[in-house]
Amino acid sequence: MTDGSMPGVAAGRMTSPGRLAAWWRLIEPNLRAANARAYVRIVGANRELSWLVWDVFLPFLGTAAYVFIYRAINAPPAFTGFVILGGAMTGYWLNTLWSMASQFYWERHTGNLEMFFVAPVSVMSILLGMAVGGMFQTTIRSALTVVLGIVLFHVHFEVYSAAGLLLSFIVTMVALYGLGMMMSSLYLLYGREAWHMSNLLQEPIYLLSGFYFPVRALGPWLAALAGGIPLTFGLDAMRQFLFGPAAMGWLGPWWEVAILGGESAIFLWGARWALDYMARLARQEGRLTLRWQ
Amino acid sequence: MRAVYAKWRGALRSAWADFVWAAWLGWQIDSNWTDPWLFAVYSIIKPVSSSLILVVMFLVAGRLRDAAGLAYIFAGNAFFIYVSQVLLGVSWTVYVDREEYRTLKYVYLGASRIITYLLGRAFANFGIATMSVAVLMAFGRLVLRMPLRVHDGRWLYGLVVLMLGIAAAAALGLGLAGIMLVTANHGSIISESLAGVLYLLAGVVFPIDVLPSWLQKISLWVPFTYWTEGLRRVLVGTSISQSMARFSDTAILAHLAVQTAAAVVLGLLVYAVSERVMRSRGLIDMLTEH
Repeated sequence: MTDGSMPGVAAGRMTSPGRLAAWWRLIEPNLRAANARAYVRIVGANRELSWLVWDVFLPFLGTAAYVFIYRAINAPPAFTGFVILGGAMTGYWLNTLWSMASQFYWERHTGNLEMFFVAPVSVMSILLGMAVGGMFQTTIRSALTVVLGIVLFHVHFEVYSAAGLLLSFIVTMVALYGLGMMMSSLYLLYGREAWHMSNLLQEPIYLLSGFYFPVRALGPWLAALAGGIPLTFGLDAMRQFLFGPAAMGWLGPWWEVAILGGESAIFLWGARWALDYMARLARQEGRLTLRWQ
Repeated sequence: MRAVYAKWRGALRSAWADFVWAAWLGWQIDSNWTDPWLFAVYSIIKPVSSSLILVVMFLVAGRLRDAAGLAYIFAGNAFFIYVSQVLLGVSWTVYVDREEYRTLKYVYLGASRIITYLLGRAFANFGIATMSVAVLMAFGRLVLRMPLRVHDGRWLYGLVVLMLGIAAAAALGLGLAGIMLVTANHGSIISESLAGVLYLLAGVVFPIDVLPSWLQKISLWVPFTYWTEGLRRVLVGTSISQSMARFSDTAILAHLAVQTAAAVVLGLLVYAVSERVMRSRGLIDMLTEH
């Protein structure tokens, strides 16, 4: 069942209502699994409210430091907005690294991973639940970061296209969490490297994806290389929809949205492929339940 | 007299052995997950990226020609690696040993002194920080052509300032380690938050003049404000902070020494109290899975 196929359906021997019912029987437990995995994160985010304070407070300190740098060098006011937006989006990248990519590594430590693999659902549904729950969790924190930025640093966002902003945000999230789902499978083979890998992918990505400055400043080749991380185009498009010409955008924002759409498809397909491949490899090498390596 | 001397000598030798073994263990845990070459690259990429963010921020704001200003924040950012590494190195050990390796109770049962053990474990982080700072200074000087060197031959002053700051970081790390002994859900977040607070309050990447006045007053109670200022005076040769310009080099050193002593007392006190609470509540081997 975990490979997503049913013999009767594949052979095309069923009538349409029967086929529909069979598909529903296949999909329903997966939706329930996704819902259950998301529920843990959504409830977890609200159960320990003091975490909310720390989760907002901690990244905001770094963000505030970057705001003060721009102030110290008398940069234009729009740059403060770049930093606040980048600071808010930092949460999504950290969530992708630590709560998506590394999640199977943690689950192995707590003993849940084997349960995921023996459950009669696709592991993709577990990943989907993780992504939805993580997005919800992070959106609350990121929204609070933006509010803090507006209140404390008087950031003024002049929305040039609300529809464009919303669309670029949504497609960035799909691509980003698709990447996270793909990475979580790749991490299945990692031991302690997983922790270090996530740790390594913080500052270099903040630099390459232009979290605190327009990515155009890196030059076309480096920016294009960084385009593999969805937040590069996502942040650049959102900055252009929010600040217009002051954003010093790289490509046109709608082009960037289109590229992100393509990345979304690639990463989601890649997540499915990587999960199958890595799970098989991890089973062969006997690493699925191996702890403390 | 001779017996007392022999007793002290024995205790010091034993403490030194504990420290060395803990440092070796810390180094193995931090580095043996990969080959040495990859580990060196890993240790360097993060700080270099972090510093390059600052350089690009200067670039987009059209201030790249402000060599002194850039060197000022570059040096502060580079040396703060010591604070974050040592602070987290000491405190994180409690969390990792208790939750991940589940060995904290054995460390307490063993012959090692726990404080020596925690400091030894953090020594590996000190080594990694030293490597990162050295690479960054070379990168800043040779690649970015910043005026980073020991000005006026003040090696000794710079070294004393450096060591005092590291001692303050280790002491605060001990306090945090104590808090981690008795907390379930917030320990790791608290230590990262403290590093973030210090990064902001000490004006690591900007002169504290740009902080609101009430924050400036608080920042003068943070040892790392004087620490970064002292190091910058040695390495950049000048200060761009008007608030700190009123302090002479001696005053910087004196403030740093007093505040470091206060941090040591505070760190040891918090650890001792937390340890007593941990023992009384039986928290030494609790698993929080966070």
